[in-house]
Amino acid sequence: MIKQHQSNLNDNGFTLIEMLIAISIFAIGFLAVASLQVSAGKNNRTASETTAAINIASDRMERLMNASFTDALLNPDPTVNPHPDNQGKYSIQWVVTNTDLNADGEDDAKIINLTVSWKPYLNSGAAQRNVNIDFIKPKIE
Amino acid sequence: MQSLNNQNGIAIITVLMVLALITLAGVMVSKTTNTELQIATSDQLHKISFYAAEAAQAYVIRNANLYNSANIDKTDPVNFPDDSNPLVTFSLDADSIESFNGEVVYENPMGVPRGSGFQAGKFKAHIYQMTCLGHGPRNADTTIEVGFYRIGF
Repeated sequence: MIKQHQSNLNDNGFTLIEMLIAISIFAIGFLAVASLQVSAGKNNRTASETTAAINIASDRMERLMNASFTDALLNPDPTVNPHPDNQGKYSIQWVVTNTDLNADGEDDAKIINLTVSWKPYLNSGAAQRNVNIDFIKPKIE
Repeated sequence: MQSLNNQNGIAIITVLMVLALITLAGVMVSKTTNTELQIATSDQLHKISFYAAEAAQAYVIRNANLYNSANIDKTDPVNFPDDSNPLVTFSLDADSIESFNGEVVYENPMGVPRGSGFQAGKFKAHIYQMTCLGHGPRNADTTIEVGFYRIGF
């Protein structure tokens, strides 16, 4: 009777070998997924920082577009270029150069070359990232 | 009866199923991240080409031959920067990745706007429309259409 009972209810645990194999397979898979999560987090932050930087660049460009042609912000003098500014960890700089759009030998517009650069978060060893926008502002008489 | 009691391999099956679920979650996370990165990049490319198209307006303003009496034929839009070849583009800067081109079309003459004063009575407002195409990196393109007029005979 006792023997019958034992064979119906097999309460043997997993063998040590079985557990070792299962745990090592799980560990390998889990580590791969964990590193995927880490790189996904990094890329998400890059996307967020790029979006912030391009919006800062666009905001500054709109302000420069609507500044007066002779405004100090648009001074093409090499001694004041590049014009520096910063907003949080984003450093903004723009270079203003004179140009001649209608090729009559007289400067009649300014090229604004605006760059926003930043150091990636939690990754001090990584190269500095930047976004760049160009624009031409005409002189209107 | 003996075969139903055989539980060998259940540990590995459980582990593989849990692993499959975690992998699925990981794949979904990386897909979301990829989409985020694409959104950020597309936004950047769009802004670059948008400001290039805006810069084309400066080019038109400074080149009066695009909208003076040389361009009063409705059927013949004037292309810039090169009228003979609409595919030629103008680079914003010597080492610039952005460029623009476009066309200026003469629409029609009309009376000067109200409030111009009665001395302007013999003048007309010549309506033009400029179509500015800004080109950025990776074939990013933005088109801007602007209507404007010139007061003249």
